[in-house]
Amino acid sequence: MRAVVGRLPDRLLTAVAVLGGLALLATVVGFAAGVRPVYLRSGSMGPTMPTGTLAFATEVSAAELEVGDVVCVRTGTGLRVTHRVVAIEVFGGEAVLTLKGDANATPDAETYRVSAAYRVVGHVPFLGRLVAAAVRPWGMAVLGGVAVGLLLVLGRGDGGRPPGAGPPTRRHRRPSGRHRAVVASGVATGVALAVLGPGQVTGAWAAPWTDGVAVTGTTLTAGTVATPATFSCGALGLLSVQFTWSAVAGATNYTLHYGSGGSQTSTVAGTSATLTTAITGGTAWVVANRSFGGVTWSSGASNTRSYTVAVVSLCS
Amino acid sequence: MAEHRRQHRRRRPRRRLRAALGLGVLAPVLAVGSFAFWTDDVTVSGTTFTAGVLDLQVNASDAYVTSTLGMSGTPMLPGNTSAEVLTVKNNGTVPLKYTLTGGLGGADAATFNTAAVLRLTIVAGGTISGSGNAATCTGGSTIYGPTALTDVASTAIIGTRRGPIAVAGTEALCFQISFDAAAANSLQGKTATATFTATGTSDVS
Repeated sequence: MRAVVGRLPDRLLTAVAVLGGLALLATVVGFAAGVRPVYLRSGSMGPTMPTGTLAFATEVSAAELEVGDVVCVRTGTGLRVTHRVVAIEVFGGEAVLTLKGDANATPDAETYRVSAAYRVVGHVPFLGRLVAAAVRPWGMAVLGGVAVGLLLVLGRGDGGRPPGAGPPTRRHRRPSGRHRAVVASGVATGVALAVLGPGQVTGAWAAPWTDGVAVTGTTLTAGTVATPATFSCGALGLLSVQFTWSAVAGATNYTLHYGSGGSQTSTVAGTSATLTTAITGGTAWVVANRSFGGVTWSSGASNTRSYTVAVVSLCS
Repeated sequence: MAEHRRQHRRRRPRRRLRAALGLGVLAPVLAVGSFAFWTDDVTVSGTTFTAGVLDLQVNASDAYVTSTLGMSGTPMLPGNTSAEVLTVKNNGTVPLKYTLTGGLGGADAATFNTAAVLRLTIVAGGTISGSGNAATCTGGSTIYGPTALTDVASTAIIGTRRGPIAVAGTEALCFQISFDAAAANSLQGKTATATFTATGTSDVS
């Protein structure tokens, strides 16, 4: 009967021992290797690293970082962010990182200038939740209970001397002295971890979501000053030739080009002009001008006319 | 008796060893889950895990096409301005802050960038006065500009996270684009498209 009852706690103890051994090993090796636990509070790195993921990160220099790495960095406001690197610009020993959460449609608005960063080397989804539960009051109570139970087993060995074991001998006392040392060192280890722990801990690294909204459709097209649609020859007179052109909406005035190759200009308010000169000839066209106060815009050149001013003037 | 004692001796240390190893369960918890972990600079409400929805909208849309901010149907002339109120809304389940980037794209974006004649002004809480190519933002408080739009769409306009905006909360931003009154003659007929991206973040620190 004792054997049946005693076996269950015995196997439980074995299971806890294996779990504890692995946990202790992982913790010691992790700290020795500079691995920092990182706990993700939000789901922007989902689905790979969902909310509550416990990730593990080691510090690497900026030069070692590559696009695709998941890194933990601090924002300008001191907040920690765990996101994937989508672009790197290296300046000497520093790198400017553009990060994006896997679940985010857009990269982080802020870029991060770093000389070194914590790179995620592994992660366990939802383990962070377990840790979170463990540090709640009831979680601590459960852990405390487990610890007290284990310490009792440590102290009592198999639960006291078996019946008929006879009076205590030197052999029995010797292990009991050893166990006190074990308990003492265990407690010392626990205290040391509790004291060192906070110093080694990397805080909760936020992995904020982002959501981008594009605002488009703002087409900005500058207007133009229309070119006079027509430019015609008007009345021909003795030593004179007249030009007329169509009006342009908004035009302040017009510039008439005339003379050889249109080399001479004259500003005209209306839509016609008469050249009265000595015998001459050339090419003429007109340009519309529109003043906007600070600047005057001019249209392109109208069609051109060739003319000759003489006793019998010509224009075509 | 002697055999019993030997057996007894062998069992005891093993149990102790297992118990000692079992205490190792506490190690990672002490290391990772110490209370300092939760009192870091990040504002964490205890150990509550929240899987919320972050959804920023502009004028009740996740991809808004402006209606009056552009000047193309009636092309812009020197001194013209256009305006439109864009309402940023938190349509999600968590508070958010947002940033805004924007710039010019299209055929003549570089030309406008060089000339620096298209200027953006953002007025929080502003309303539109006038209409068409003479619309301006009035009232409210100017939070940006007038600053020339560049030809790089990722140029920060609201670079410092603005907000927070509570769930279902909104903020009206009056956007005004002005075409310099002394814009050069050579810019006639040039065209570009301004694109803005408002990015919401759950980081409300």
